[in-house]
Amino acid sequence: MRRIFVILLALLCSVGCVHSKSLDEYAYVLNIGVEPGTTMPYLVTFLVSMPGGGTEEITVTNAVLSAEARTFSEAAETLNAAYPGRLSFSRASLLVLGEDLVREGAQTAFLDFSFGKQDLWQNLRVAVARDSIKELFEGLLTDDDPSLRKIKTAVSKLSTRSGLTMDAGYSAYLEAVQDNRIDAMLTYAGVNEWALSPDLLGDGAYPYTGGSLLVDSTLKTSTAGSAVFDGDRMVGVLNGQHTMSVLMVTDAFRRGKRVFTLPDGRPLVVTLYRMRRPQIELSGDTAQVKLYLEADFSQPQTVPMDSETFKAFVRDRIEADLAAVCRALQNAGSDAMGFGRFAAKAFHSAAAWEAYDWKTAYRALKVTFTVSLGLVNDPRDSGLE
Amino acid sequence: MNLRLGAFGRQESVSLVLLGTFVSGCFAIDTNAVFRDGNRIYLVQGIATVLALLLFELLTGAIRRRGGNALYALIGDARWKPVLAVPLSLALLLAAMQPMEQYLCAITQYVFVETKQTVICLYLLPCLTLLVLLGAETLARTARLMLPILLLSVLVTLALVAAQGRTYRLYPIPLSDPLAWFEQIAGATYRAFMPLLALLCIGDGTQTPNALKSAGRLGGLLGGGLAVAALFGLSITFSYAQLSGMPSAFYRMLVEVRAENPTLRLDRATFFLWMTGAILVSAFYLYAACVLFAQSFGVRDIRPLGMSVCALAVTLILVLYYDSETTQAVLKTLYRDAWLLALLPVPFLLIRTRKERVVCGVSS
Repeated sequence: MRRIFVILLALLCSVGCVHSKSLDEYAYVLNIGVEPGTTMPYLVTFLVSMPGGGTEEITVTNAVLSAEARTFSEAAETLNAAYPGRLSFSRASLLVLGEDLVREGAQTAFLDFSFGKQDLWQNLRVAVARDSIKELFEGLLTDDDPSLRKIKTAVSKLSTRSGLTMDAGYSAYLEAVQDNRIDAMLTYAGVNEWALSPDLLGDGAYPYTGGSLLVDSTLKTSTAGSAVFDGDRMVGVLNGQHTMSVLMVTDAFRRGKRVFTLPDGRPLVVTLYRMRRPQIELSGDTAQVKLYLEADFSQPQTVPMDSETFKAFVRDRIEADLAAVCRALQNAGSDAMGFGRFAAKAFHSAAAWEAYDWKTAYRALKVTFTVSLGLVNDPRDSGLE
Repeated sequence: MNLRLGAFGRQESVSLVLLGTFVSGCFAIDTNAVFRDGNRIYLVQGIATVLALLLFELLTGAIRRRGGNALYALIGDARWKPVLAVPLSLALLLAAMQPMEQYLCAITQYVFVETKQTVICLYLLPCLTLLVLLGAETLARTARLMLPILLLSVLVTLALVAAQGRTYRLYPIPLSDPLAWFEQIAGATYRAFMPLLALLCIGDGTQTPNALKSAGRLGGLLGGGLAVAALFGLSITFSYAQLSGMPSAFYRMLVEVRAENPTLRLDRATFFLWMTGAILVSAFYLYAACVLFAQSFGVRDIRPLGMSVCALAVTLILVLYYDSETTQAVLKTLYRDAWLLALLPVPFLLIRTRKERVVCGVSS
């Protein structure tokens, strides 16, 4: 009996060896991009990492492949047919949506695939591409970072450390589309040679993104601010500084540099830190937003004003900017600041909330912003004293 | 009688009940029904834990008054013994099927993609049968061994979720529909009560009535608390709209938080750990159902019964996937109303004990 049990156990354990594949027979899809196709509804682009070489040394090459298809599965099957090995989506971590596609809201049908089926998960990062996705993916390829891990981590850190862009996951995007409580805001990316285009407030999109664009480097792709949505449609772009304003209200902001213009025309750079969670109160058609920030001023001797005047100056500029961004978003129909999160609290059933026309109420919402500002460096406390 | 009860201590009993309460509270919920009109499950689970513990207190009190150490003491000499034992055994069988069904759903959707459920069941059935045949002592000791690592994995996941979760996802809290509240509380009480009922069924394996009582209290309370925390974590990770219809929501939660954190390469390992816990709990319920049935109907050897019940449970799960819509509808109704099977016999057991006390009081 015991022998039979051992034999059966050994047979069970050997099941995994029946269809074994060596590592170099796999190719890993790292990025997936979707944009409008010419013959089919979608042009799907994959950035694939393909291992090669012999048994002694395995080399990795990256390639950009594309296929036109009606669904994600069709595109994956086409790609599978074109590659002799086996494709794995388990390492895919970036989904890029073409701007032409998301402006029409045409991505929803394509994205209606079941996560988990292809080893794809909702923790994919999502970005909107201003330019051709093929060019965007090719711009990401460098010998220094074949897995693209460092680049993706850098985008995430840029969001946390600078507040100039958005690091959004597919889960958050999907929630925004389904829930109507907050609209999506995604990373906006492009190739470095792109032309300056105005954002929702009419300002340039690239000058405030930490100098990542128009820089001569091996990396030809970079990010600039964020793409904002109304439901599943992209309605505009916010530059880095305006993205920071939205992040402050959604409590995704931790720190970042703001550029203000002094009365004499000189630029003033102030590092802002989040002090505590923002307070948002919504009643009827009015909303009050209180933000708690701390300003670190690195050149105190150059400011021709005392502490209180300086604080009032910075506070007024931030409040004015928040109000302008909020008004622009309201006009565009995008609740990227997430006032719907607070409006939903007044409802006691999902059906009642879903039946409520929140977007119409949101457009008429009167929002006031109050900033409580602390100073790290007193402008008069010069290092020379 | 060969019931394979063995003997196990308080720690083992607590582990069994804790694991059972957690698994039934978290892995056995029907997300379509629970999150359809908003998210109240973490509140419901808290209320259900209290109600289940109250029922447990009442039953243990009644058992003690009859001088026994297990549920059989309440139904052993009843005239309508089958009427009381069969619904309770059936309730345990259905409670055992729920985590296994989730297990099959998760494993075919996320791990062995597009594999047929029958193939997975070929592996599941021997595991379950073996556990049931080995009996209460093996189940309890295995639960005791598994519990620390399972708890650690759940707590680490919850800590990661807490950093990323947002409380606005809890809204709108559906307060306006009393019928929906009642349905959910009844269902959750049934799920929270099943591990306690199973413990009462195998009470003769615990060393003393006091050990049985304190193990139930502690296991139910800790398991219920953990289930509430886990459900709250789930509720701040996904909105009700996302959760509604999301299969194996806990595994999805684990995967959602894995980016840029240490669980990146541990999600599958954690998943299998949780699923092993679910199989163990299913085996515990099936074994308890067998014990109750065997004692009530005078079956002397539990092994043939155990094999049959395991085969029945797995077959019924497969019926849910493969059989006709009518059969599936019947089984789903049984799932939905399983709380009636579990909770309705309880008042009869308590009333009967009370009547006997009154009679004894009069005669004495």
